Amino acid sequence: MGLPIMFCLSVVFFVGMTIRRAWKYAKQPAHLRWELHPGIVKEGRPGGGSYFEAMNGSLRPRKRNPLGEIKFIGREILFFRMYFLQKKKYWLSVYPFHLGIFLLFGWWFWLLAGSVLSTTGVPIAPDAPHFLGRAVHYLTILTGGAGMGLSGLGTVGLLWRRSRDAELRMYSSPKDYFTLAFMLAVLSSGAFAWIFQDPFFQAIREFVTTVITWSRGGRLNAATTLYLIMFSLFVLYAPFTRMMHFVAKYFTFHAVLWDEAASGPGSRLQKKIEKQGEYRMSWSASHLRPGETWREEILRTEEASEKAAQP
Amino acid sequence: MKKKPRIRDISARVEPLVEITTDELMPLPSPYEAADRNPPIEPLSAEQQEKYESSLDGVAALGLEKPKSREEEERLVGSFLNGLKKLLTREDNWTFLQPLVLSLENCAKCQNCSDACPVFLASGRQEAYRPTFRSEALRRIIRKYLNQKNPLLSRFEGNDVELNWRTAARLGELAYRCTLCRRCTQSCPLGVDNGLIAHEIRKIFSQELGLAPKALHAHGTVQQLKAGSSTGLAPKAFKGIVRFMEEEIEEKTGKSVKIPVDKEGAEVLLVHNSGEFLSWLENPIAFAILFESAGVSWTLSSQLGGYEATNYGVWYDDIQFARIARRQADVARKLKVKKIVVGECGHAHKALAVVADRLFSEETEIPRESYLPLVEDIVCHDRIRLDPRKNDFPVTLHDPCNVVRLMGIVEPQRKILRKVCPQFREMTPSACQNHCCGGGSGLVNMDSTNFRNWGISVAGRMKFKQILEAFQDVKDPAIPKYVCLPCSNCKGQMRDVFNFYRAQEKSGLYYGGLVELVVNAMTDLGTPFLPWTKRP
Repeated sequence: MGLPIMFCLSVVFFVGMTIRRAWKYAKQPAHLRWELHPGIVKEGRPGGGSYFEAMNGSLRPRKRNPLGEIKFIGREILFFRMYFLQKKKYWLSVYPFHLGIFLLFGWWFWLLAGSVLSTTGVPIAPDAPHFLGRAVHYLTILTGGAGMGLSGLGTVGLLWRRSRDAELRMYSSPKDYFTLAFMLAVLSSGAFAWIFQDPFFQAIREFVTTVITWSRGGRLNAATTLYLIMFSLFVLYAPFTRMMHFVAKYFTFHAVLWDEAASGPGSRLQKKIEKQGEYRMSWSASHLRPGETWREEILRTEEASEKAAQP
Repeated sequence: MKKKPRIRDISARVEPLVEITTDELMPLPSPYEAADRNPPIEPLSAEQQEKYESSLDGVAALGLEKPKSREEEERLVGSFLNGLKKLLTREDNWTFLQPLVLSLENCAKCQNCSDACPVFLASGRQEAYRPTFRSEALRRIIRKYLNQKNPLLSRFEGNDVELNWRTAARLGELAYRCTLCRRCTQSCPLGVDNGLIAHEIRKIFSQELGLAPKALHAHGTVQQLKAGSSTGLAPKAFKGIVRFMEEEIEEKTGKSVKIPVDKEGAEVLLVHNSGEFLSWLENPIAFAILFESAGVSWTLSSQLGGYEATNYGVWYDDIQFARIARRQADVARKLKVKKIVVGECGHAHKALAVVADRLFSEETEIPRESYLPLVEDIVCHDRIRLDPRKNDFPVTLHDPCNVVRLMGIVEPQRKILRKVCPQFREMTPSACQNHCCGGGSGLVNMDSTNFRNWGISVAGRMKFKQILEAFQDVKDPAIPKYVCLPCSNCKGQMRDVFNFYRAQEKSGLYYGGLVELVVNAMTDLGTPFLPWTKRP
């Protein structure tokens, strides 16, 4: 049971760290407005304009455009459009890398679905009597094979670019290379197991079944065992890398660059800002008084300017 | 060519990280191919080099004096680190903590942003000016000195920047080699904001070390809070200028206009950058003619803080910024106007209408808008009679970053120009993808030592190139061309750039605001408002 426990712990750890990171970003104090255009929050205006384009626009209710936000982010996630438009060579590596990872998430989903189905008596095989059994069989092979292939290619591409391209190399740390090399090792072990020992992912599906049913399964082949150990270790390591930037994307766009919300009278935002105005600051330049609240400091204009004017 | 500096060289390398030579700068189109002085930036005098920190690129923007003793150096470095810690706490930096943390923790180091930065490109891709250079140096300092205590793990993470006085001073200078135009942010697939990181470094220097460019602090926000404006224009002198404006209007147009000042209950309190009153009086005059002709209920204010739209605090100090914004809103409320309308000043737009938005409570709130929709309404709904033939010369539009990319006002100015300028043409790129004039975030105001050389030769280079390219089909200097710069700072920047390159003489380039073009097209003005458009 050692491997299933290790596998479960690593997945739980990863999910926990992801939630922790999202929570950290979500619980930051309300900030001053700092949006960027063309924004998503617009009322069908050409050129990416904002409510400021209209007379008395500041008095209008500021509505968000959730569909527009999903469309933008979805397009970015699915196609990496900004890279494609601005840095095509990099896109050739970064896109397959990410697309492969998304497919591998899909692969784990189909492995899980196959395990659930097989425990309920639906066999997963190319000649399975039930349509679902056949569909899951092929989808698992498709997502697993394509995922490993694409992310493997992408990882090699990123490693190559990061070591060959001077502007990327200068900003890369030993950890960046290690992370990519580790990822490549995990993918290679997975591909080896798939090609030489488990072409239909039967063994790994059985492993998932032992995990979800918490039962003692049959003996796993060596290559799949090695892959699962490496995968678990990588999942434990990933939260300490820049790979976690996926958590931030929602916040950078939704909560900063597209956030035009007003702190209207009595709003939650205004209450938050008022509370933050009572924070005591400790900045120690001569035009400020450490220990005073933001509100006190902001209102203390004349005296402050006198003092700051002194040499 | 000198070897490209690595990030760790910010602390290690003794000689300057950047050496600007004419050969390496981005080339300009004809007839400016060889127009730069060689060297394009005057070296500091021996005395200045001795006194000021200039080890980044031989330029002293901040006017940082070198520490005189080991103790002073240690104190300054300690203060920098303290400031950095405070920048990461909610009590000291709730104003920008969330965007800052997101930007510090999530850069993929893909360098997508580099090709968006006009300073980096115009400089000939000088490594230290790359948007990620200062950000990455700051990240490495944070990880090494505040997060990762294990030296082995720290090295594994690449945290190789030593924090010493040279590092702190170079970071301070680098924060003023960025115009905060945030074009880099626009190109980042993760929304990481290198402009914000530059802004936050400026805050460490101002709010903790008490070090900010004189032009922005002592002669800027402090003077504004004390004397009423960042130009030092006092209320009495302001009233005198308004009387002079009325005389000018009568003399030039034959119209007798009484400019309303401190008129209680007006619809609109119009606030200008006070630099307009001193350097480009034709702009507030044009507003007065336009608003009076269109029957707008408006007023100017002569109260302390009421006739100055600028707020330099938005570039370097959150508290100074908030103090000024509050005072501007107070003046408007006391005058019982319906709203504040900001004139042709880009950063004032962003500061008062956007960044200050959440600082106002129910009692202090007052609507704050741009002049653009109002002027669009006047022009496009025929509230005045216009003859576009009076503006029959090539015109191009510069989009001030603060109004367009950072605030989302894109179309009104275009609708106005299409209506009054038959030869209007766009620059490339334009609108939200525009390039900064190079004087943004206070850079145009900072004239100490040789910094203006840098502002013209490097920061203003991309915009100058864009302007020249917009007029490629009418290169003859005998054909006057108008660069519409609807922002005081952008005008100041292009004034200096045009003078440096003798652009009026060589290319027939004139510059000015947007409202001047509208007034120039008014049919009931006998003489052209723009004197150079008079037909021989």
